[in-house]
Amino acid sequence: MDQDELINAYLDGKLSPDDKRLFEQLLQEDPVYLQALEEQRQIKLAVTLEERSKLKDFLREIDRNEARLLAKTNSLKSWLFAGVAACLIVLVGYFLWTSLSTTPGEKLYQTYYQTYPNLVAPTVRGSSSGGLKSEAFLAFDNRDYEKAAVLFENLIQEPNSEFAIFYLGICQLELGRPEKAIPSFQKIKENASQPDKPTALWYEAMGYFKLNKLEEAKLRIGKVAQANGHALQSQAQEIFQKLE
Amino acid sequence: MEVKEKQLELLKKGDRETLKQLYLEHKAGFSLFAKRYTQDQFQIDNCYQDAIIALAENAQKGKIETLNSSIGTYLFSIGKFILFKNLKGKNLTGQLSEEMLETIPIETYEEEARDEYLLLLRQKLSELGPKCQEILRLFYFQSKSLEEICKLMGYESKDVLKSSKSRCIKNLKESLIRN
Repeated sequence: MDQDELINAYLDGKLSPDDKRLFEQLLQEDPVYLQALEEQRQIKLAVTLEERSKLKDFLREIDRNEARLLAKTNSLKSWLFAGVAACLIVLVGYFLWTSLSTTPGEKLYQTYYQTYPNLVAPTVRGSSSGGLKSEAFLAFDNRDYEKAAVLFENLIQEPNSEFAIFYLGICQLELGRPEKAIPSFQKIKENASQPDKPTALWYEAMGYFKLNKLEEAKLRIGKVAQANGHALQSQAQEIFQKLE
Repeated sequence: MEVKEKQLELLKKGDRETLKQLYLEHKAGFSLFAKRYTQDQFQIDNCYQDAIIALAENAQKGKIETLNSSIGTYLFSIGKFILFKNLKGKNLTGQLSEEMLETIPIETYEEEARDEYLLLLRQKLSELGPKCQEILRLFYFQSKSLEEICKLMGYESKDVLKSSKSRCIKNLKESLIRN
């Protein structure tokens, strides 16, 4: 064993009792040994304290990382929670809104209403033979119902323009103004052909559905249901049965 | 080999990952135990860290040959010892059994840690080259024999290592004189 190893083992308390006694005797007899011991003790202490301090830093770093990780997962969790909560609120809100705000009439309207097509003056690409009529239907085909309504209103004054009253009613329905649409449909005569009376009655009923006036609507739908051979008959019968 | 033995082997080699595992594994448990004596979380954490350091040190120095109990139990014993020593006013050290005081050798070197000469020595030590630091760490901290260090660090012979070590200490002394 080298001298430093001997001193180190003594400092570690690893010498056997006999060796320890011998070594201590040596220390008493030779001051050089005593000095070497003190020197090594200091270095050993310094190395030990330095090593402990490094380990302490290592452990503190673990704590810091854990705290960061925890904060991260927490913020992730709260973001997730917020996201899920937001989705739920939107879903519940949508559900409540649709179920509470839709009346039975409105539901029927949504199920059965379809925009009546332009069967009077099909828009021909490139044709400029305009006039009020084609202007009105051009706006109608372009779903510009506000503009179309104004034009149809002006057309009503002209002869052979019963269709204008009907399409004005469709425009009002499209614009969400059933109370204005209903009088238009009512003006359609029994013998009308562009379109016929049952169609007008059907759309009048739609207006009443939108207003949730079920009895008024049922009255009109009943008449359509009796129009034998009419395109809307079967649908009208279906609705009539639902209302019974 | 049991998990405990494996962990102990790794601790003896100074494996930091094992130390980290043990540190995290028992942290909450020790904190709960310590709360019965103090509410100072900073003090609790500090004692626990010192206990982990003592465990690492004793393992590396070869002071833990085998363990009858688990590493966790050993760690708790050291933690308890350090905590009670820290809570001086409460005279809790009396509660520590004689056997425990003997089986857990920990020198805290509290006074020495404040010694100015030692602080300077530590500073100069950290300024040495990495090889010198490693030799001194293996020799004084891990209490490895020169032969073992030769193998660990790949020195040709014990004599080469010895002269390297002497040079390191000479440099250290000289840097102290220059100061």
